[in-house]
Amino acid sequence: MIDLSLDDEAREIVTAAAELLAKAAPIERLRHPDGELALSGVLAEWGWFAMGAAADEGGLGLGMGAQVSAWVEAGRRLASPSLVATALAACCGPVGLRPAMQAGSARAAFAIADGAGSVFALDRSDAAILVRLDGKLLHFHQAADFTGTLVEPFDETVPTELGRLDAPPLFSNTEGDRAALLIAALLAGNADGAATLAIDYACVREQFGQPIGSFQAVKHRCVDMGVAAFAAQAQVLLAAATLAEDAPGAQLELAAAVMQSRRAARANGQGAIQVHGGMGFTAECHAHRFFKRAHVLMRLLGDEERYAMRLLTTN
Amino acid sequence: MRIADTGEETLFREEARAWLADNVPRDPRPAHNLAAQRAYDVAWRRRQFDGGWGHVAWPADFGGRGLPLAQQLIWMEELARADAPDHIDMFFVALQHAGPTLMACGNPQQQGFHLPRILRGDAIWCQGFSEPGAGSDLAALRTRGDIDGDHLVINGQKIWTSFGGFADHQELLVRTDPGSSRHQGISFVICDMQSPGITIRPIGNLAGDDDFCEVFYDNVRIPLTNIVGEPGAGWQVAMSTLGFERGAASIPGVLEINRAIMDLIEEARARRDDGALMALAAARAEALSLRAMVHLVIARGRGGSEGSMVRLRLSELAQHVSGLAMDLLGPVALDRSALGGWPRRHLIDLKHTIAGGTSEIQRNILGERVFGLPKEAKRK
Repeated sequence: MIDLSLDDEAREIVTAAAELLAKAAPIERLRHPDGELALSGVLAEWGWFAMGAAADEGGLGLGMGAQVSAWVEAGRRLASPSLVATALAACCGPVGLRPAMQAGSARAAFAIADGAGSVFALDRSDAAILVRLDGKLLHFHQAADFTGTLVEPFDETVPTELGRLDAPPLFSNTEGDRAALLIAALLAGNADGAATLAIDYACVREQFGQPIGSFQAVKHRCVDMGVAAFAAQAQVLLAAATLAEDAPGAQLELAAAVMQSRRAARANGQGAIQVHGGMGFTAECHAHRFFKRAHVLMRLLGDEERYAMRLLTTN
Repeated sequence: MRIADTGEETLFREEARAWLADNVPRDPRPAHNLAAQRAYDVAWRRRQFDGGWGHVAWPADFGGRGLPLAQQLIWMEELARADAPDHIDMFFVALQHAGPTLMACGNPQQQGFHLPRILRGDAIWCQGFSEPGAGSDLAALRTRGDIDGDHLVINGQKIWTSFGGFADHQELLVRTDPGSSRHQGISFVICDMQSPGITIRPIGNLAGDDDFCEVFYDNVRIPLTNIVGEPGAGWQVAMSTLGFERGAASIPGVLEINRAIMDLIEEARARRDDGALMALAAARAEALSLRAMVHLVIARGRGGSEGSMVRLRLSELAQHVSGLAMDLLGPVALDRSALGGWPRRHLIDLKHTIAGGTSEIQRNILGERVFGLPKEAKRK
């Protein structure tokens, strides 16, 4: 029977990860984004990019469920998707680069095909490797093979370049589902972060002599966000556990995790802005960051139809 | 975290599956005819009881099997897989609320008399809570219980009592403290539905059934020994089981909607309806996440209020899915019994966001108890 509880040791590590992120990734950092260079350094030292590796290999020996819980926390703090790219390179990228990726001395970033022969590079910074997700496949390109120019990014905290990759990948594997799961975890965390921001605001902002969260329209909107975030997290965790056991239904549960986390992040991003009223539309208020980042992560996951097909054809 | 069954769980699952294969009724539950439904429900209850499956969750002290939660969940999965009769039948109130309330708050005499009868299928229970003036605001209830010697004399009215005409007993909330208001001074009473002075009036619902009723009490005498828990503490008694494994309680409905969606996917594929297929894929993702939510609620061990999140989403998904069925059927949906009765189901599904606590109230409760939002200020 399904059991989604974490054992004590895993739970302690996840709690420590959350505390680490709370300290090292305050949302204020995004006013002056640095491509998460500072954050990745702190995380690398903690062992973030070797979470799944065995303890005697310098890792934390965490199962998929606990790893994904940690990534959800990262998503709540709007950690850059480059961190996921680095973690993927660390666990299953070009073999020669894995140690450097685990140690944090080398970094990876994501690339997305635009469907017309060009490629977007997200938050490339000083990445050595660009990771491209294509369904079940993960391709690892030399970053040096990319040339492009900066565009005005949808999410100003994710520098975005449009260009070309002029060579085939250095290395490919079939860990596309793992990549999708980690991005879904970021989205689920994003949805939760947005809901929390809105709920916290609704508890303190007063109008008509009381906190706006006491009015049913606002309360109910907040509840819908909180429940959607919980559903996304639950499904992401179940997908992680199913994938880890290579149990039947892993692909199905992952497809559901992708769809539910997208839906929740998209809705909650807007919901958080709405609950903040006029302030929500300002640059100063943080609500817009969840909305924008949700869309970036959704584009990373690619066409939803691919995942929808699994939900239609698998029993 | 774990997905697969343990060795012990596998053996249990096989035992459950084998028994169900031999014992699940072949005929479907009769539609419309309430008397026939009663007979069907009693027969199924008795068969489960005789087979040792009287109640997997109830403690052995009270005649159940007292199984660990994981096995209770396996039993529910196997019931769904075996196409067992829907868990919402005439025994629903007895098994899900009245019985657990007696276990939590009843005295040994009440437990010893009523619990075995519930498990064996010898007694059907209904609920006497809501009144015309006390629905979402149940604390506004006014049905009175005045003490006369060693009896209570009940006067008033209840509404929305499902299967009132077929129930033997009713869990009845009455105001026994004359000066009291709101949550104070209410008592939880076991009412014998054969008592003189009770009039039951079925109410026709929009789906053409009349299984829920108004119940009128005209000087109905009930022994004081039928009060459950302390007199005047009836509100707390009634609420005592609302935290009762709320997460797991949603599992039958969650499993059922997952299977219903699969049936519709097959139908949509046969009709080559791509629009319907995309909508059903999204619905399936939602249905799968409901199952994940149940398990996460259980893993976090905070059943009560958090479990309501599942109920809320499930009720709305159910309505959405039967709506998709309507669209899929097109003009054929004009026949209420088309495709196994999906149009009729879409009518009945309207109640899921109303019965047992409206979605609006559920959202208020979730907002305040789970998400920490402030209560609405009282009007001056």
